[in-house]
Amino acid sequence: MIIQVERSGGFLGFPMRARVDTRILSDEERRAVETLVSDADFFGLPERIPASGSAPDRFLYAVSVDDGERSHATMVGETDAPPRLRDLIQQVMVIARSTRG
Amino acid sequence: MTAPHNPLFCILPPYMLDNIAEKGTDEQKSRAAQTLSHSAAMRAQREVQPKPAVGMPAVSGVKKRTVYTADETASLPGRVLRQEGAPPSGNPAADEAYDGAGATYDLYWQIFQRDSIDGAGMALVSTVHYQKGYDNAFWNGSQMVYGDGDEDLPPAQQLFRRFTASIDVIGHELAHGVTQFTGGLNYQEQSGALNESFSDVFGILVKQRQLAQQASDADWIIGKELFSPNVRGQGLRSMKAPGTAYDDPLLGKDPQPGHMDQYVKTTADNGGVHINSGIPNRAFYLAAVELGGFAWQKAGQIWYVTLRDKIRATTNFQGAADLTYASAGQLYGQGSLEQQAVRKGWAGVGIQVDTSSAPPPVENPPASSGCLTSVLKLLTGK
Repeated sequence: MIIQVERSGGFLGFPMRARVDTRILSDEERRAVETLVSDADFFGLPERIPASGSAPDRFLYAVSVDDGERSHATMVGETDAPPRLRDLIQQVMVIARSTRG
Repeated sequence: MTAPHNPLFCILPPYMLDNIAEKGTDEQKSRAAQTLSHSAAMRAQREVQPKPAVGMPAVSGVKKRTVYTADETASLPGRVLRQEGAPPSGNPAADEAYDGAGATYDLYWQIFQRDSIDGAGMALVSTVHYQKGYDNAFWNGSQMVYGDGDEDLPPAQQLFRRFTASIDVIGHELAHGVTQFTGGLNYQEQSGALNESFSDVFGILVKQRQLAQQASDADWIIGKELFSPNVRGQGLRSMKAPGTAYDDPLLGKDPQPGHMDQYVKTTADNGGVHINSGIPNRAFYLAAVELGGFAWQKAGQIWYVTLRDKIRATTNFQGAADLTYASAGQLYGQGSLEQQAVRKGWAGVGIQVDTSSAPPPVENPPASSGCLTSVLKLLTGK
């Protein structure tokens, strides 16, 4: 499963991307991430999660998951991510950081 | 594309999303990851944050500033560092936020006769030291929030300085508040790029006024103080020459267009609101330089009155061009040099003002800008 998080927006406006292929993870890490994808009902999320209000200069995330059979992508603002999706974004970041370099 | 076994985190050169190389030091990547992971935890916190008091001031024209620190957490507003009238706190970020909010307030009050963000003396609440390594600043609907950038990293690893370092960033964030209380401007596509542009315009006016700079002498760079010496660039955005602010091996090249021919279609950044803002930014610059003198006196007045009275949530670039042209006609007379400067400014970015929709001339154009606002309100019934 490949999970990708792209961040855009913010005052700076520089895009950033984190990308994790769960095949390189330990069994425990892989299960944790795949559980988050499932719990977040990721493949059932809309392509664009509506913004609850205007959020100038906040970050915007584009998250995509490809499990080999299906692929899906959603966009969500920094203030509007449902808790489980927020956890997934964080987890992908943590993994990308811990395995960097 | 990166090999599957190699997770990736980096700052992307704009428009090169499919041509990524892992760049930056480990610390820089780590810092970027922290910003992303922390910022995702905002929603619940946002729901419980207190609203700053909106006072019923007995006297207009009185600043009410409070600067808090979040102590590197996401808690807002945080712990008080400095209140109105108190001496400098000794905390550089807090004192910059205080002074910058003051200079911004003064621009609105002394030049535009607007009493604070809401026009009714709203308290100016700022929080500094928001999260750790947060490379952003924002207006959250009721206050300003500033991150420290990379200032806790060793100098050689830093890309961004604290976001209070540039006074135009402070003016920019406060202007988001003014837009919220006036024209609205949906934060998407062209209306969103206009929202960004009005913030850059009033942000740069705060800076130019503080420096007593004429339009022709100013550099028109947004975020000049935001980059560390490790970044190759003058600043974040150039209103004078969008697309030329920086060209850096790590950050890539400034992606802003300065003409409708280069308008960027994207789903990122709410439709490129921080990118396409280069177009209306340059229109303002061109009009201001054409008019000469201090940019806040005429061009700023025209843009402010347009935002206050005419801009709507869905206004697009063409609408902004037509409405600023109409405002210039009301303020300075139909066919005036000021109105022609506005038309030329928009023409310079590829937008032709539709003059057929201009309102009838104002019968008694006010002689000076000092009382323009109140006179106009009477004349237009707004």
